[in-house]
Amino acid sequence: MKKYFRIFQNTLLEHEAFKINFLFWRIRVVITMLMTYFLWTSVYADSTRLFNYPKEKILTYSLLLVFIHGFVLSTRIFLIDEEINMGSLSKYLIRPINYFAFHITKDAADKIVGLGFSLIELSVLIILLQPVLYIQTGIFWITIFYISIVIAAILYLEIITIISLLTFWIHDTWPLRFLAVILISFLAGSYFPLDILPRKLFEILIYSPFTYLVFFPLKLYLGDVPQSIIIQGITVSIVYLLLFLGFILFLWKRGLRSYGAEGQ
Amino acid sequence: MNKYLKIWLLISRNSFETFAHYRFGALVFFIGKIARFLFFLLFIIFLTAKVKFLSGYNIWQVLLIYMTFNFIDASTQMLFREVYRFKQHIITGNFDLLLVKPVNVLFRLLLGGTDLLDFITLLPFIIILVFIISKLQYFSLLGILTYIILIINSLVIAASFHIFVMALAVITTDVDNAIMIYREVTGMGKFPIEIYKEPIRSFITFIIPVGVMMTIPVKAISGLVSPPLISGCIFVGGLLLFISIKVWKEALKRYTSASS
Repeated sequence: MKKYFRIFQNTLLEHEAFKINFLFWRIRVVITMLMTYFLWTSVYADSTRLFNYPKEKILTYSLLLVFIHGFVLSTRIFLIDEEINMGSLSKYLIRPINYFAFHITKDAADKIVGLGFSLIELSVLIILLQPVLYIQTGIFWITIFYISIVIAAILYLEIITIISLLTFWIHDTWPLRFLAVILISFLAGSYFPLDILPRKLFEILIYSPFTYLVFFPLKLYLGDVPQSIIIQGITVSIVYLLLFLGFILFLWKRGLRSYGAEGQ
Repeated sequence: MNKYLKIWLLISRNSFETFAHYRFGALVFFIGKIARFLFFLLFIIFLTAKVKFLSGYNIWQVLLIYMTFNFIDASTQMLFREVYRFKQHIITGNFDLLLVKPVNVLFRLLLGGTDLLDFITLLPFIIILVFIISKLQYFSLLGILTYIILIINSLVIAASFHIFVMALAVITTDVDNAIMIYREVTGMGKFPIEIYKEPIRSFITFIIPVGVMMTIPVKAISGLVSPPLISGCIFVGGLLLFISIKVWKEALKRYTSASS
């Protein structure tokens, strides 16, 4: 356990060493969020309610995207593909650590930093923009929101891990990751709440894993979700979580068999 | 000039041939780019169909701004893709080899890696642009001519920012962050700049002139831009290009060739 704590500490220190990279990444997240926020402000210029959403809820949704990006949609687990391609995976395999626990620990440290920064950014944006916001006060909704973002963070980690593990067979998985990020941006609800889409389309998206990365947690924060939908959502996301976990273990076992440590 | 055209055609052909080696990756990338374009297009249609006007622009004008953004973005990516690889030239010392070649190094670095995927998207974008322009309530031949001139001006501005980024890379060896910030900021031009409030609007008007690049050309097509404003836009483009070349030359003086 102590070694993982050290990895956690070192990862936090990495942010100190590469603070410019981190800062630029956060600026990019804020720019994307600002575009979405101002777009919705403009759409609601003459209305207080559209698409079944009051203005304060849609603006809260767009501002909370900073938080979701900082905690859920941030991972460096894709570095696995570089480690497989360069052969540096070998050095982890002979060390007395669990390879996935190593990366998950690093990710946890990243998420702590991302969470801290997103809260600061959110506070600054609220002070500067002074938007009308919906503040959730219900303990139930806040609790279930936190549970759902933890599930979302694990799901995202699993999706990126699966793509990265394909490097065992496809040496360049960067295009696949690019495609996944684009699909996630739209199908997860990074620009708009998915339930503003036509009903039939939304009913299909409910069964997509992407829905549980952004839309579902934010919808829970905004409240007014029927109990049956909450149970269905949590169940579907946990089923995906377990399926992806099984798939990762399968890919890992098969991948190691074909791993040739090329490039080492 | 003829020599540079020949060189550009040669390096573009070489660049296109590399895509044949990465067919799977190129195909997935292409699908990703098209998916992103279509998703946004549908989202804009969906939104503006509901509210009728977005900051005073009707659906066709909003779509024209979006398509103008896409055309400029794709052209920029197609022409200046090599800039994304500049970091590698610096940290491997390969930049020294480019400096001693009898070709202008800025030309080689800016235009040395034409992107086939973006090239393929240009023709469909032009067709969609023509279709959208035909749907506008008012446009004139002069307006279209001004639009084309201002689009060329936008490409000059884009080139200037790519030169700034490379100048920065000579000093700091970092390209990725600066270029991505530039892309995110210009991405704000997918929508009319009137949707943004101060101080964001001033930033994307005066610091990175997204409005000059994307929104003003669209206004020009309907004759909503005065000649002094058009001259001002062209002046901004020329000034940025002039300053960027000065900064680039200054950066070259500080290049220490440490990686070679």
